[in-house]
Amino acid sequence: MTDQMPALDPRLDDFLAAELQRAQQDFAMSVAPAVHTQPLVPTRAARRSWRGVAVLGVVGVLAIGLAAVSWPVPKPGPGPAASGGVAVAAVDAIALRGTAMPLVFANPDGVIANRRAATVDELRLHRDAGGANRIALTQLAAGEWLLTWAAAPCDVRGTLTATPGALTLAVEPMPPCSEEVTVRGVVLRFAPSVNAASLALTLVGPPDPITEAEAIAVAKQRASIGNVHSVQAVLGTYLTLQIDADGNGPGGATPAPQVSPDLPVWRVDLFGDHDWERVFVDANTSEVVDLVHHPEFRFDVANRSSIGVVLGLGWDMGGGIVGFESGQTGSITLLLNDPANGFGVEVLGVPGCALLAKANYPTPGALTLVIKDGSTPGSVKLSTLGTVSATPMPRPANELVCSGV
Amino acid sequence: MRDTEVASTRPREALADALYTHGPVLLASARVITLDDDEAQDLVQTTFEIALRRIDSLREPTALRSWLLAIQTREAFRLVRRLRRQVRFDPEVHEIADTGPDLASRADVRRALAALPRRTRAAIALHYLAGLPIAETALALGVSENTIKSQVKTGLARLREVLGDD
Repeated sequence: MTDQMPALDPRLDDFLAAELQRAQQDFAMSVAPAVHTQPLVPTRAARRSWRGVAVLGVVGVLAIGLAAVSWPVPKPGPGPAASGGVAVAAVDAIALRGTAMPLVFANPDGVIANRRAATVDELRLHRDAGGANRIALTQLAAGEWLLTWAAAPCDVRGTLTATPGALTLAVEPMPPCSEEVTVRGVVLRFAPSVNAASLALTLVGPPDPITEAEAIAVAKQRASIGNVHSVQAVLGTYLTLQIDADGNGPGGATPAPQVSPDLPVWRVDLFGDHDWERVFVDANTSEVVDLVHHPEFRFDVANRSSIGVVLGLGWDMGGGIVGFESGQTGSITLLLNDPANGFGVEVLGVPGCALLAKANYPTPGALTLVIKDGSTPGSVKLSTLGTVSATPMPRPANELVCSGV
Repeated sequence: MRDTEVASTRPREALADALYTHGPVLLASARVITLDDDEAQDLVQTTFEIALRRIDSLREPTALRSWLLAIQTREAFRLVRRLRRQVRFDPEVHEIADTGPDLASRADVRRALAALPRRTRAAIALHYLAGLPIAETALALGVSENTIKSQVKTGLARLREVLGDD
């Protein structure tokens, strides 16, 4: 098998075996109980976007499968009693790229005696149980019931209220974001006096989704980084925007509208296949609102060198590339998860992406990054000024690109 | 029409199953390549997303595992990840697999691996951990088989040098 390759040092062999075992354990850990299914509610938006479900839905499965790796095993059993007799405990931690969804229990009458997160296998078996109702209670074993519901990876929290005659689950925000409809679930044990089969189930319904046209209009008015190339998917009140880092659209043929710089951005990733961001649009006001408020940091760049360069930027929410011809200036705005994380910059030559200089700015304040000629032809050096322009300068227009390492 | 629909969904179903069958080896390989748990998880996630979009281009379904590993390896070298590492903090804090008897030894191995170029780690992960033949390892890394052999040989020698002889 090793094609006459050298034998491994036994210590490295052990290390690789242990890493494989750790990965197998991570995947076997049934912590992130969310399994893709097709949309269970043919909402207006769902009907509109049905064709995309099969494709993006599997991404939901993959993402959630990995979520099992990311989060600790939830502690089963009742949580600490909060005031008013409401037992509150997050028994579930479901992650999609860092977004967790705790499920909170309001159980003032002690209807629920115990609970645990459902396993992936349990959800796979019963993912269609909810049908058009989007919520179901299925008996797994004596005294053990699986509550499943239609969910979205971007749901941020849920509250399950149990009364002697009903289970009501409210998930925020609803409805599902884009096409990534999933099923989540929790396994419940009820108090002996409860007839589980007779419990009324209610999943607090989503607001009426805004139309795709409305969403596009809002997005175009409010998107901030790069240009809005297209609305990739709209389902319910979420939309996923295709963002183009260079403003020219894929292939450079479709000019996109320039938009104002005040959109709160949840996630930005300006490279290749992942040029997207997700924003939340309030269904009632059609206003774009953020899931997490990220501080904005703006700095200026002045290329005073004699050569054109590409700046590769990396920060704690993404990365991006901006070209500066000799003599060009421009402002760059980053949305940081934590300003103390700062950002990193690499100055790359064109063509060829040679690394000419790099620096990290861990605690950004007012900053103008100045690129000057270095001591040898074709080299540059970086310096900074502790000032920034009063108003943002436009990004420089040029054809500079760097295709990567 | 119905047959077409069924056929078109099979690769995607296979891919969903692949998460469970090939996910562990992808994750373990990613961890050896990146030496960073967060980046590794992100890498596996991204690999499956890309695979989902390109599944129709997979001509040989039995090669799904090596295809996924190749996607993952190429993705591991993309510029964005290199840039992201610049803003990653606490670089000395790592997760070490807590299975097995000798944690200290594995921490030493991890440090020794960190001293190797990422491409060498990738070659070691693909060949020795994931079990890809040299030819497929070379294909995934976009270099010749001789280059892979040379990189691995040099890397393992360097690793022994850093670890020292017991």
